[in-house]
Amino acid sequence: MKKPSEIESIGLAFFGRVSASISHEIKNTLAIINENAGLLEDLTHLAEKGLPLSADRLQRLSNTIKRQVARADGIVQKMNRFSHTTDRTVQPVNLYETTVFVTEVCDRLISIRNVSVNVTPPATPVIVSSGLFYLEHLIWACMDFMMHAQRSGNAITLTFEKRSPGAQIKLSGSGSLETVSAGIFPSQTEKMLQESLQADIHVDAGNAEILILLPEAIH
Amino acid sequence: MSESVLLVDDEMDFLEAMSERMTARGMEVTTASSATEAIEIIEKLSFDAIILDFQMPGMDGMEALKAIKAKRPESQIILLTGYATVEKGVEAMKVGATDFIEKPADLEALSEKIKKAKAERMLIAEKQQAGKVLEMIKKYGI
Repeated sequence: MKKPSEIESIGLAFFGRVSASISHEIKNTLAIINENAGLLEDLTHLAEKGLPLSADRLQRLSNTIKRQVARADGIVQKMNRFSHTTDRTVQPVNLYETTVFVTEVCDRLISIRNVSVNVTPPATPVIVSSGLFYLEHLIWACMDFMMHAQRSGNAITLTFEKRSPGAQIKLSGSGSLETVSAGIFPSQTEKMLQESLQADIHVDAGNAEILILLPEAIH
Repeated sequence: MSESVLLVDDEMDFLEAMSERMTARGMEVTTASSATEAIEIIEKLSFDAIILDFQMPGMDGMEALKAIKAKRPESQIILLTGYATVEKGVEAMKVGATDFIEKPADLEALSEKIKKAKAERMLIAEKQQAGKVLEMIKKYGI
């Protein structure tokens, strides 16, 4: 078997982690549908024994099932969109929309951290030509580190700006990253992504900021 | 005697449906929508089994498991997991989980596990009681 390159390996690991998180969300909706279907079954058995069925009760159960089906559909759509980010190697990327998508796809992973993530829309679209999948990975890797460095209940904010040339994504937290970042961030993963995207990562540990500088177009 | 169960899951639609179904089967069910809430509850109440969702917002499943075991070492904890692997199961058992079941769970299978958990808990309580009696005998002699 041909060994994957390092960048392919870390990409696969990211894809796997996100897929596992999304599949867990789907399992949750299936569990809810399963229990409500079971409840319908239980109520049917009781009705067979003569206990009256409440139409209102049945309607509520039906609404719950429909709501979870819609939720599962949304989750699968997210997964589908995420899977398709690997379709093209380089493409125009709207940084704000991509970051919002990353927070949606990694929603469960974010919720476990108990840190709020605020994504601030720029006044005008900030677009670069880049490798979408690896950019998503880099944005997530920076968010993940920043959340790890924050206290539970804190928030991180992402903002976007055009530069000449290129663009930047800034991640801001509270406190400082000094005790966490030294020697840990950027790790080998971020460095490989940085290289692949022809990007730069600057860490201002004292002010708890990470800056991702991206070229206008990668070659 | 019916089993007392603490059901811990952040999904309210799941908690309500499962709680109702378990109650209809004669169990005494208390619910918690977070690990933090569950820990507050077990400070005041004890249960035959604690059904714990392994991936909830705010607290990692392993952390939640450890925190509950720290408060109530005798707790019988059954993990609800989205992906049950042998490795995960072994890891969870090492930290003190009694058993695990993959979502969506079959309620009959879960009920069996709860009955076993109750039996295990009663055995532990009997052993502890026997241990205390022995201690008293040693201390005061016969």
